[in-house]
Amino acid sequence: MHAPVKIELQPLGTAAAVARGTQLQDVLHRFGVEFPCGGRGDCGGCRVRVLAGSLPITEDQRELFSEQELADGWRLACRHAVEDRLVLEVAQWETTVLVDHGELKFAARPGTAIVVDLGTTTIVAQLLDLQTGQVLALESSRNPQAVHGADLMHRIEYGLSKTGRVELVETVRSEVGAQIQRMLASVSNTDLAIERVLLAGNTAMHHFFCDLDLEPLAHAPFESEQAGFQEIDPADLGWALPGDPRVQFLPSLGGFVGSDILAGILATEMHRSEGIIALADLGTNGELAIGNRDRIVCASTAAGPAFEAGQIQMGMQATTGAIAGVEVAAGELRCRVLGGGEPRGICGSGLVDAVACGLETGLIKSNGRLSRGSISLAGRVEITQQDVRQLQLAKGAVAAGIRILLGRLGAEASTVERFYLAGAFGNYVNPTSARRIGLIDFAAERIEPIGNASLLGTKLALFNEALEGDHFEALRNSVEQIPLGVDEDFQAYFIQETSFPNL
Amino acid sequence: MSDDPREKLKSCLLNLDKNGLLQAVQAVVAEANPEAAQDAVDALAEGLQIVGRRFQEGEWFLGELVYTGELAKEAMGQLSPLLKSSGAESKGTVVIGTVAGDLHDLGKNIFGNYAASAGFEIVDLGVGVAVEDFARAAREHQPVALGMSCLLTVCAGSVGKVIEELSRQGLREALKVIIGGAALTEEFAKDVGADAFAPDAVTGTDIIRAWSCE
Repeated sequence: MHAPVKIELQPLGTAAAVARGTQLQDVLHRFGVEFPCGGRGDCGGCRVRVLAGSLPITEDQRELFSEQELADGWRLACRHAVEDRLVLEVAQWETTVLVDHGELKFAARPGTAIVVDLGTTTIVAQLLDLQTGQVLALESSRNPQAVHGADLMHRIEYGLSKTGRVELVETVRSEVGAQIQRMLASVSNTDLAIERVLLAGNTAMHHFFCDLDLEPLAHAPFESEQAGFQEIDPADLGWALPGDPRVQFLPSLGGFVGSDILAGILATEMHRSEGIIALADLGTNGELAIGNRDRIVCASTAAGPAFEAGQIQMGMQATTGAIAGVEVAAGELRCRVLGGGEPRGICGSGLVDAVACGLETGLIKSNGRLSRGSISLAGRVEITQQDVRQLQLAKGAVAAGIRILLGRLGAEASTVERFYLAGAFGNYVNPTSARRIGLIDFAAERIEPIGNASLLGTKLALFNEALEGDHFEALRNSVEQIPLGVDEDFQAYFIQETSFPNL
Repeated sequence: MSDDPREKLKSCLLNLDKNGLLQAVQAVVAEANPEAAQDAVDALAEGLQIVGRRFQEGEWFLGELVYTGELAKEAMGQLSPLLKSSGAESKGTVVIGTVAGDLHDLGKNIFGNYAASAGFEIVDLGVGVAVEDFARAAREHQPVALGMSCLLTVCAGSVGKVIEELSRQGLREALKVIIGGAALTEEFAKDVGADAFAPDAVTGTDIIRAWSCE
C-alpha cells in the first residue's frame, strides 16, 4: 500500500492527498485541467511548472521545451506520476503570477525568512532559505477582505467604522498568519526559526495590515503620515511563530502608490540604471514608475477593470475556457483558448489581442467604433461596442499617465531602455497587440514581462541589509509621486488616448 | 455640400473640420448681422444635438464629444459679441463643482464644456469644493441649476450636505440640483433630494436644457 502524498495546484490553491505513484494526469483531470491531445505528450496543453518538489525530465519533453523552460521547471503533466510532495503551477490557470522571473542576487547567510505580496485581490507568500535563496514553500490565496468590496475605496469606506476596521484588520492578519502556518507545516524541517517577515502592498493594504487610521486615505489629498516603514510585534498580530521574527511592512511611496511599486523599482534596478527604465503594473489601478538613478517619478491611474476583463460582457478570468489570444490568419480571426476546449469567455490579454486584430482588419475604427454590431470570436464568444469602450477608457488612462510621467522627466518614449510589465496581465498580454491599441508606445523588443515584481523586490530588500532603515527612506524620498488627477495636461491626454492609433 | 452657411457650419462640426468651421464662422462674422449670427448659433446647437445623439448611441466616443465641444465653444466665442449687441441672452447660469474630498474633474469638465457650447453660462468652482462654497456661489450667481460631481463613494455624503445647506439658507427653491459621477446613482439622487442624476454629459445637458425652457 502506498502512503498518500500531498499535491497542491496553483494559482487556484487546490490541494489533494493522492496515493504515491498516481498518474498526474488523473489527479489534474479531477480539478478540471484538460488534456487536449489526450495525454500523448504532443500538444503541451497540460503544461505545469514545478514550484516545489521535483519531476525528473523525460527525454521526449526535450523536444517540446527549451533548455530554459525545463530549467524553470516546466513539464508536461501527462508524462509524470506523483512520487513525492509537489506544488505545481497549472498553465491553464493563468490567473495570477506567483513567481518572479528575475534572477535573485543575494549574500548568502544562514536562516529562513518570509516575504509576502499583500495584494488587493491575491495574497502570495514565500518561505525562503537565506543560505540558498531557495523557495521552501509557497502560498497563494484570495484576499478574504474582498467580501467588503473588490475595490479598495469600498473597503476603506467599510473600514471607517470601528467594527469595520477591526474586522478588515483581523481578516487580513489572520489570513497571512494562516498562510505562514501552512508553509511551515509543509516543510519537513520542524525546527526552523523565522528571522523576519517582510511585506509589501499598496498603501491601503499597508494601513489595514498595520491597523493604522484609514481616514486620510478616504479623501483628497489621500496622504497619510503613517505610510512609512512599520514594524509590528508578532504577538499583536496573534501569530505564534518559531524564532520570534521581526514583522515589517515596507514603506509606501504615497497615498496611491504603495510599497509594491517601491519593491518593483528595486526589482527592475531602475534606481541604479543610467538609462531610463519604466515599470507598469496594470490592474484596476494602473501603477506606473519611470526613471533612472537620477530621478524617478511614479503615479497611479484609475484604469478600471478592463485589463482583468471586468465589466466586459463575456469577460472572465484567465482560466480554462477563456480566449487568451487572438490572431489574424488568412483574413480570419483565430483564437487560442486556455485548455484548448470550448471557449466560454475572454480574458484581459485576449481582449487586447481581439481589439488589435479588429483594428488591423478594419472591424474596429480608430475611434473605437465597430463596423457592425459586435465581433464574433469563437463559439458564442463575441466582443461588443461597450467592451471596446471599456478598453478605450482603461488604455487611455494608462497611456496618458505614461505621457505625463515621461513629460515630467523630460524624456521621450523612444529613450526608454526597457519597459517592464508586472502582474498577471503584463505577463500574458502580447506586446505587439498592446502597442497596436496604443496602450504602450514602445517597440515590442523593449517590453519585458517581470512577473510578480513586488515579491521579487521584497526579496531583494530582505537579502540586502543596506536597504534597511535610512537607506530605504532615502530611496523612498527620491521617488516623486505625481498626482495625475490635478495635472493640467492629464485630461487632454486622456481624451486623446482614448482613441486608437491610426496607422 | 450645401452653400447654406448654416448647413456648412453644421456639417463642418460633424466632420470635425476645424478650418472649414472657422472659415464659415468668419464669413458670418463679416456680415455683422445679428440675425445671421443667431442663425449660426442655432445651427451649431443643432449640430451639437446630433453630436449628443451619436455619443449616446455609441457611434462616437469621448474624443469626438470633447473635440466638437471645443470647436463649438470657439465658434460661439466669435459669434457671441454680435449676439450680445442685439440683446440675445444665455440660457442661464449653471454652477458646477466636484464635492469636498474628491479631486476627479474629468466628467465635470466635459459636462461644463458641453453645456457651455449649448449656450449655458458655466461657473466652475473646481474640485474639492466645500459645502459653504457651493452655497455662496448659489447666492452670488443665482444659477438655474447647480451641478455636483462625485466619484468617490466615501465623499458622496457631501452631496446631501450641500443640498441641506441650500435649503437652510433658503436657496434651494430657486434652483435645480443635478448630480453625476461614478459614486452616484438615480436612486441616490432621490434619497438626497436632488432633482436629477445624469449618467453622462450629454444627458445632463439635455436635462438642464429642459429646465431652462420651463
